[in-house]
Amino acid sequence: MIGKKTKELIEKLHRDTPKSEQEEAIKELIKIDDDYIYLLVMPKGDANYWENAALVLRQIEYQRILHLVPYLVKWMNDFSQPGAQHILDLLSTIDVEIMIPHIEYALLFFDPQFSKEKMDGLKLLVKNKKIKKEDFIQKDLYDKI
Amino acid sequence: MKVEKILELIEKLHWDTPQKVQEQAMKELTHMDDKYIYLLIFPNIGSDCWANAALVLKKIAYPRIKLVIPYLLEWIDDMNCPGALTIFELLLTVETKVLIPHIELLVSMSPNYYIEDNYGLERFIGKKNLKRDDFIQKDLYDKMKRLFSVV
Repeated sequence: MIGKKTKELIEKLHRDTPKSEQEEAIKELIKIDDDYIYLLVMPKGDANYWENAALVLRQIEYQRILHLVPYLVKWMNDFSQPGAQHILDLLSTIDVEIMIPHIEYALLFFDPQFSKEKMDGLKLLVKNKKIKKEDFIQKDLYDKI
Repeated sequence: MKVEKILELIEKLHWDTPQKVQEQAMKELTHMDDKYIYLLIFPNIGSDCWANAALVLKKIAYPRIKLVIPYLLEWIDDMNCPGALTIFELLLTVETKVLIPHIELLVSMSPNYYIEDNYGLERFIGKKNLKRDDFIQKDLYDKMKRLFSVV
């Protein structure tokens, strides 16, 4: 069962919480039990928490968040969402070989002409990591961006 | 197994390939390196090979498919999609504790209309017998149930 303290700390990530309490919560949450890291992905469906939650995730070793990469790609992909820049920074630290499957999946059903998504975050990630067509397994997907 | 060989075998999953060749390809693909398993999720060459790709994923089985669970949950949103029933059965073998974060994230990050129309997820929750107590974020269970009842 999730501890009361973890829930309270996540509550304190709200942007209206006094600054010192936000900072203390961020520091504490880096040590969150691995089973509950997912609670930091766009928490509570409330954007007021996302900037700080992304800051926590960015400071957690990436091996601990590998199972969450598909959700982090979605978060980052709409670059107007709070925390997207931190998530981009986090994903930029992950090996290209690990990221390729997720980048390719994000592009699988993407149609550059008709899809609503803009793939802004994904394009930045590909640029930041200097990912080339040769890095892709499914080369035709690279051509979409 | 080299990735070129894997891609070649995936092409043989097409339902027009001679049955024996399909079966041999499926058998060989179960031995692929785990880092290429994602190539079996909606293979890019077309839906004609999805049913067989799903069968390979089911043979590969949990826990080797752990890192692609979010994509498998998307596969079952339309149970008419080729391979969806096979993926449904595969997901039933995954432990509740492992599934819950993914289901909660699916509900919290998707628009309401997507959950309302997600008959595969609704059926999965019932078949897996997932209860409110299994959820960490009970409000998401309530939201999901409310959206299912809209249809």
